[in-house]
Parts: sequence; structure tokens; C-alpha cells
Amino acid sequence: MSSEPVIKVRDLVKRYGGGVTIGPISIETMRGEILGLVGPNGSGKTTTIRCLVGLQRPSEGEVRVAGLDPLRDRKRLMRLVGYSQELPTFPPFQSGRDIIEITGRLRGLDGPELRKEVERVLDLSGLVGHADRKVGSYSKGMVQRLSLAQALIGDPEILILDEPMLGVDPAARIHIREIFLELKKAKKTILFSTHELYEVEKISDSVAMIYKGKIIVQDSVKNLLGGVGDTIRVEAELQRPQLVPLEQIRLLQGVARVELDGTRLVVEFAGGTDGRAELAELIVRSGAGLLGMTPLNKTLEDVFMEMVRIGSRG
Amino acid sequence: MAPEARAVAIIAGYELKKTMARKRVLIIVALIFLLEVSIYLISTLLPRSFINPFIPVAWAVGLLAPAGLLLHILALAVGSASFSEEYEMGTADYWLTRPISTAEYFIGKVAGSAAFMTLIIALYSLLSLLLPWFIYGPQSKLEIYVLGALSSIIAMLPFLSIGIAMGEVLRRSMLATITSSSAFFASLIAEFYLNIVGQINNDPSLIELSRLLPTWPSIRLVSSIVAEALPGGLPITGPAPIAGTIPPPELGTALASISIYAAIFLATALARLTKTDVTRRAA
Repeated sequence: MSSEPVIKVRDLVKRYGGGVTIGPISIETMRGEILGLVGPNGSGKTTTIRCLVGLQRPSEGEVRVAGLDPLRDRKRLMRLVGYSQELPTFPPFQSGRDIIEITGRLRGLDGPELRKEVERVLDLSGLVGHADRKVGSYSKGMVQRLSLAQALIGDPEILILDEPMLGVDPAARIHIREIFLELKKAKKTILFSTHELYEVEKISDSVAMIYKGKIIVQDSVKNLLGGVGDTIRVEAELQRPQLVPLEQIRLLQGVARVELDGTRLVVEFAGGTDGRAELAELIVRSGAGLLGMTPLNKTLEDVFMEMVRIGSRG
Repeated sequence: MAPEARAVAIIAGYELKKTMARKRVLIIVALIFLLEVSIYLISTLLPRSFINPFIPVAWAVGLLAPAGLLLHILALAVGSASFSEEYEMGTADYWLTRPISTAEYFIGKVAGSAAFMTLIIALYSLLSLLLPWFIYGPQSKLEIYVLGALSSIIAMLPFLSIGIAMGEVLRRSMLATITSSSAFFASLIAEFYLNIVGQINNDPSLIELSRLLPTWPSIRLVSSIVAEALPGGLPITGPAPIAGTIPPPELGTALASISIYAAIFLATALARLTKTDVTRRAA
């Protein structure tokens, strides 16, 4: 495996009119890695991706994909890269098959090889029965699948996908996730953007979190779920929640957050403090009736919110 | 086929198909064909003595009729939507992330638009030959007929290019159509005004000035070629550009003017396409 990143963005800055600036953004994706670019709407995910495929020019910084400059070498680059745009649209008067075939032809496929490859991606994307229908009659989910299919034709080594799960129903989402897992097995390099942190957790090897135009963290999913801020969250089920001594709990060492929702009490310890034993003792002594206590697994959502909080504090 | 030619052919084929699917364009095409059929049907109602001298070259009327206005309006409609609709539909992102160069995309789109215009000109030219042949019998001076049809293809180039440039610069098809149509009518009115005032005041500089306008070569080229076939030239005389022709020694100037206009506006469109970001589709 080469140590050189396949996708490299260094100090990318994009300035728009009206004083809006995205960046500086730096991200790297290694060969065979799946990187999820996550962040809220308007945070700069699409700008970064559009710079990666040469649709936008960086105001500053450097962008390289497979060692190529997307602006100067777009033709060569797009032979290696499958791209799916955010909220994809295709000419409504063409069929799904036409769209896929055009990309296949432009990637140098022809004759039986092209037909075989079209059938493969149609099958993979679940569009076999709809391939000859005009795209104008497709649902949002089908357009998203078509976008994925056209990105996959010719079996490109690199995939850059902007919000590939946006607007799809749960069944299609599961299907797309399965496609990702297949691609992961095939060691494809994938960079995809989303604001669905759950999907990133399921699919990605690593995550770059982008917030207000800046990358706040890029690390492996494993590392992020393991350790940011050393936070421990527990949920306690109470018999008599009205008796729980909330003020005393808040005074326990390391307590960062206390939430009581009906009979559920959620307490978060920060800074590596594990105050679960003291918490249990307080609840028992108060007579609130501790029915059970379970640790809450940290999710990428927690990590993201925590990183945003850290970022906001400067 | 070389990969570059293949890419251009794929995009040109797509552009041709896309243009054929546009209602605005189809309405103008329908008007052209309606005009063609109406002219020949109405001609059967005219006194035979009036039309007799023109019967052997009746095809000329069919070539001339759309060349004054509708041909250029069609060129503007086709050109102004060629690039702009891709931004509006969001398909510019699709095309400009294929393994093609910007130049191949550009050439393919322009070639597809020009191919559509050529197809329409070929069809109405054919109609303008077949209808009088069917109504009045064999037609003559067919070598001029061929030149007339070819000159129609050349004549539409300035306004096709203006439409393309406006479409790429503004990236909004309706706005581009309005702007480029305004340019066409402004040029037409200015040329008419300069000719009238120039003739009344006997001021050749105003008439010379009118020759710099894009309507001068594009509207007069077809009539100048076709007039050769008509007994005594064009039956209607009057101020340009309605009935004006270009004297044969100046045909070269007209062709040069057409080439310059087409080159300037196509270069403007290409510069905008290559030097700026691809506009995202409006949500």
C-alpha cells in the first residue's frame, strides 16, 4: 500500500461573494480508505468536493486526486474517479441506461464490454427493471441509485460521492450502505459527504468533521469513538425520579451534564472521571429507587457535538 | 474513432436530442414549416399572370421566407439554451465531471446546436423544393438553390453564436433568450434606421456604419444568393434590411463579418466556460 494519499487537500480556501469564506481545509484519504466528510448543511462539504472534481477553483491551497490537479488534468482524472453530485440531476429525456452508457463510452468502454458493465452496475444499484425508463419518471431514490450506478461504471479506483444517501428511503439507504460495504471489500478509495453520522459510523474507516468551513477533526472512526475528551455517559432508570438529588449529582466530581427525562436520568462525566459508583450511591441513599444503570455508547454524533463545543471554546 | 472525436460526437448527439426535446424550439420550427406550406398554398390563389415568371424558381420563396426573421429567432433560441439549460437542470455538473476536456464539451455542444439548425434548414429547404415541384412542376436553377440552402446555414451562425455566448455568460436560458433576442431586434432596427436616414440624407457613412451590425450579413446573405435566380432580382425593393441584398463584390466582406461575429461570441462563451467555476443549480 502506497503511503502517498490518493486524495489530498491542503489549506484549501474558497472565497465567495459577500464575504463568505470556506476553509482553510486540509484532508487526506489513503488508498483503499473510506473517508466520511461530515458536517451540517452549509459547512463546506460540497465546496470541498466540487474542488476535488474540478467544478470549482480553490481561491488558495492545493487539491490533488491520484496526484493530478483536477483543474488541469480533469479528463485524465475523471477516467479514474467516479463522481456523484449532491441531489443529482440527469437529462429527463434520457433513460437510465443512456446515462450510464454515455459515461461508459467516455471511459473508453464499447461493444459487449460496455453492455456487460452496464448490466453489472444496473444490477448493483437495483435499477435493472427501470433502466429503459426516462429519467424524468424516476423517484428521488432511483435518481440517487442511478447517480451511484453511473459513478461505478468502468470500475473506477476512486469514488467521490456528495451526499449519496440524501433523499432516499430507508430501504434504498440500506441498499446503498451494502454497496459501500462491497466497495470497501474491493479496496476502493472513497470520499463521501453526508450529515448522517450514523451512516458514517457504519461505513467509514475515517471521518473528517467540518464545521463552519473548517475541519475540526480528522481521525479514524475507532479513535474518535474511543477517546475524544474521555467522556463517560450513563443512563439510570429510576423508580421514583422526583426524589433524585439533582443538585448533589451535579456537584459530583467530573459531572459535565445531567438530564432527567421522565424516569431516565442521563449523567455525563468529562475529563476521564468515572463517577458511576458515587452516582449509584447517591441515588440509592436518596430513595429514588435505582432500577438499573447502563453505560451509553458514544456515537459520532456525540463526538461531533463535543468537537463543536471544544471548537466554540476556541 | 479517436477518443477526442468520440467525446465530441457523444456530446453533439446529446445536444441534438436535447434541442429536439425543447418546446420553445419546436414551436419556432413548427412556425417555419407552417410558413413554408402557407406560402405555397397561398401562391395557388394568386393570379397566374403574376406568379408565372417565378414558377420555375418558386423554391426561392421558400428559402427566403424564414431567412429574414424566423431562422435567426430559431438560432437564438437554440443557442441561448445550449449551455444555460445545463446549469439550470444541474446537468453541467454531470457533463463536466466526465472524462472529457472542456474544449471537447464546448465543441460538442456547439456542433450539436449547429447540427440541429442544419437539419432544420435542410428540411425546410427540401420542402421549399418539393412543394413547388408538386404544385407547379419541375424547378430550375438548382445550383443556386443548393447555394441558397448552404448560405442559410452560414447566415444563422452569428445569432446562434450570440445566443450561445449569452447563455454561457448569463447561465439562465430565459434571460439569455431575452437578451440575445433584444440584440437581434436592436441590430435590425438600427440597421433599418441607418439605411433610411443614410438614403434620405445621402450620407454613405451611415450606410457603411449599418454594415458593422450583425444583421447586415446574416439577414442579407440568403437573399443575395437567391436573388441571382430570380428574373430581375428580388421582386420587392425597398430599404434594407427588409429587401436589401449584398452586391456580389461585397459577399466576401459579408462572409468575413459572419466569421468575425461567430468567432468573437464563441470565444466569449469558451472563455467564460474555462475561466470560471461551474455554477451550481439553483435550489
